[in-house]
Amino acid sequence: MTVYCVSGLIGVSTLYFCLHFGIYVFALRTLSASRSERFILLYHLVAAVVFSTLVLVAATACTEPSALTTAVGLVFAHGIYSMSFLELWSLAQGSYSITLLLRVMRGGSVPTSQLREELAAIGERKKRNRIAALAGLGLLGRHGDELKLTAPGRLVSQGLKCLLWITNPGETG
Amino acid sequence: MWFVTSVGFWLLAVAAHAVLCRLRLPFTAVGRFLLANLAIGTALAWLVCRSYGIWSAPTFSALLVFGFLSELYLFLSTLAVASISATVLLTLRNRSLSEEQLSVLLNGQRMVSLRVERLLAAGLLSESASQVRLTAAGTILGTRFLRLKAFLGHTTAAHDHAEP
Repeated sequence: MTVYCVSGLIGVSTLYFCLHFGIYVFALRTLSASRSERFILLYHLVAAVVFSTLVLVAATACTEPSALTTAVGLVFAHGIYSMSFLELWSLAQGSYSITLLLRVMRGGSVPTSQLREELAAIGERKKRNRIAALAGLGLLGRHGDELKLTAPGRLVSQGLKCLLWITNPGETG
Repeated sequence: MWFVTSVGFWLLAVAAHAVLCRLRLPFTAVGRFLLANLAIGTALAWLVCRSYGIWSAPTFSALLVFGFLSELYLFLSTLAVASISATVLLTLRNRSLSEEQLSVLLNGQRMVSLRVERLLAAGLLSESASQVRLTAAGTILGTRFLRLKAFLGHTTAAHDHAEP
């Protein structure tokens, strides 16, 4: 029973991963709604929450410790799948460095000054959008003309500072 | 126990990354993490295989937890260095600024220059006589991203005007 339970969990989960990816590839990919960040994030987030709940409930019903261990592993497998997908999706959609790389690819050989001129406008637009998005998330607040971090913003900023301490990168931006 | 072991090895990989980032090595920050992760991940795989057996649930789960945490760390650490949102949050950390002051500090040309420098350091671009061109590795990456963009339905024009 235990063996069937664990292999059943793995089998059903594998089928689910194929189905989740297949639905995106064959049905959602061509829809204009699926090109929005919000849609694609929700497609993965909702699926991850539902999958994790179901797989953990199913594992506890199995009464065997290895079933729960397997279920935890499957939850993290979903994490790897979703994070990899979302990272590639957002890199392809809006990465500044990839935009730059593709611009050079189109031009063959581009003067650095021309590249700077052309792509600076995209950077300015992205910055304005990000400021609005950070304010929308409650990480930034406006006090008169000035932008100021809120308490959650300070917390996130502190976390970023810790990561920068680890990676010791020099200039950021 | 396998979970604690996995998290412990991941913390060890992060610590090893911090050390590697302070040494003079011919690798980018991502390369350094992959180096640390490969070594620590192999040690974890050896340990869990020895303790629980190759085809066992704890081995499978320990490696997945380690893999997930490593990917999350890599994502967040690259975000902290190169994301515009992260730079805005870090710039405003100890002071409040007007949008104009922020624009002066984080101007578009500086952002492009930083990215060109990173792409040059990563060996994806080469520069000669103030002209940049793609290296072989850059061409391969660019071609792959063009294919990925086409697959995902992100057209180049839409991409250039993306509002993420």
